[in-house]
Amino acid sequence: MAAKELIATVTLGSSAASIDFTSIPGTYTDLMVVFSGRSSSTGSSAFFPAQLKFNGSTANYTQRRMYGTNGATGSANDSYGVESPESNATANTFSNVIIRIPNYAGSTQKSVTIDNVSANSSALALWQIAGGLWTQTAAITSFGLVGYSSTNLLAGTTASLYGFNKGSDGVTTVA
Amino acid sequence: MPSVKYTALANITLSTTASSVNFGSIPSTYRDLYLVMSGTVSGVGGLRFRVNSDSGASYAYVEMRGNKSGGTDAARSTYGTSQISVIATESSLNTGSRFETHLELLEYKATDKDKPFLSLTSYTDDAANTVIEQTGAKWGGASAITSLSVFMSSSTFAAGTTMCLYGVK
Repeated sequence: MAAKELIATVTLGSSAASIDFTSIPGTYTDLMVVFSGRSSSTGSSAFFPAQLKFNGSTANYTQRRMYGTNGATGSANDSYGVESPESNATANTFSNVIIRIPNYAGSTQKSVTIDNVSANSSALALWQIAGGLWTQTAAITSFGLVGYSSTNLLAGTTASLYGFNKGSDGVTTVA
Repeated sequence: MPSVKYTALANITLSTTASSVNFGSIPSTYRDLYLVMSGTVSGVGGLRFRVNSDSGASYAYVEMRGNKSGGTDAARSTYGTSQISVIATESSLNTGSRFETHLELLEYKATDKDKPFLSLTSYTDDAANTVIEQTGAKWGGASAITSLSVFMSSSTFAAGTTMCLYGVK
């Protein structure tokens, strides 16, 4: 059993409301999602959210995020999840995101960390970290990313779900 | 095609409270180390790291913290200190606080350079607010890292807290 295993990967061939990983086995220790996305939104903010969906719902999740973008830094409390370039941004630009969920199959609330970078062009980029909490105690059996406010994820958006298996090499000690 | 491979080295689920956990005899087989921690704590304190039992003024770190309560974000840099902090004491980690820490030790076996660390931590403080904290750090020792100690500045890790160490190459 490998320490890090690819469970599933999805690449959108056409625009879709969400990417969903379902029937996630409870046999791993932790989960990691690597996401590269682009939003159908055509606003002026350059980047647009995709929310995290746990067991089919975006409810019961909040986060604190800190961000830096051209000429500005800030922080906010919200449930936005991850940020990706909008459809009117520089062509072929996608976000670069890592989402980590340890002990996803346990019976406690689930902490989430997010590393998020998006570059709109050579003149506009966003860096963001977020700490979140899904307040339900059920095991996570499905996880998804869904365009915020009824927007879509565009073709070319990819997401890969990995499972980490704890173990021992028989040499390293722990006490 | 070359690919990054993770190997599980050691793991622990605390059956009772503990003020510290030590990973020892870490082999020099890998390029980097990756530690995942998840659990709760039993009182007030911050989360700290040391390597090779070095408690001298060998560490430096920069930490940045975003606190959900009132937007009290903060940043701090510390040089010539005896430990690495990935959750500041000021963040009020307290009884029942949940935390999740991802720590990367890059090129841990190198003997010709200081060792860089990068951590990302999500946790709840004593008011059940969510906090995000990121730390960039270094250990100024020239030796390969063969042990890693995780400890609370005060109080303890609660039973049920898990820690998993992986080698990466």
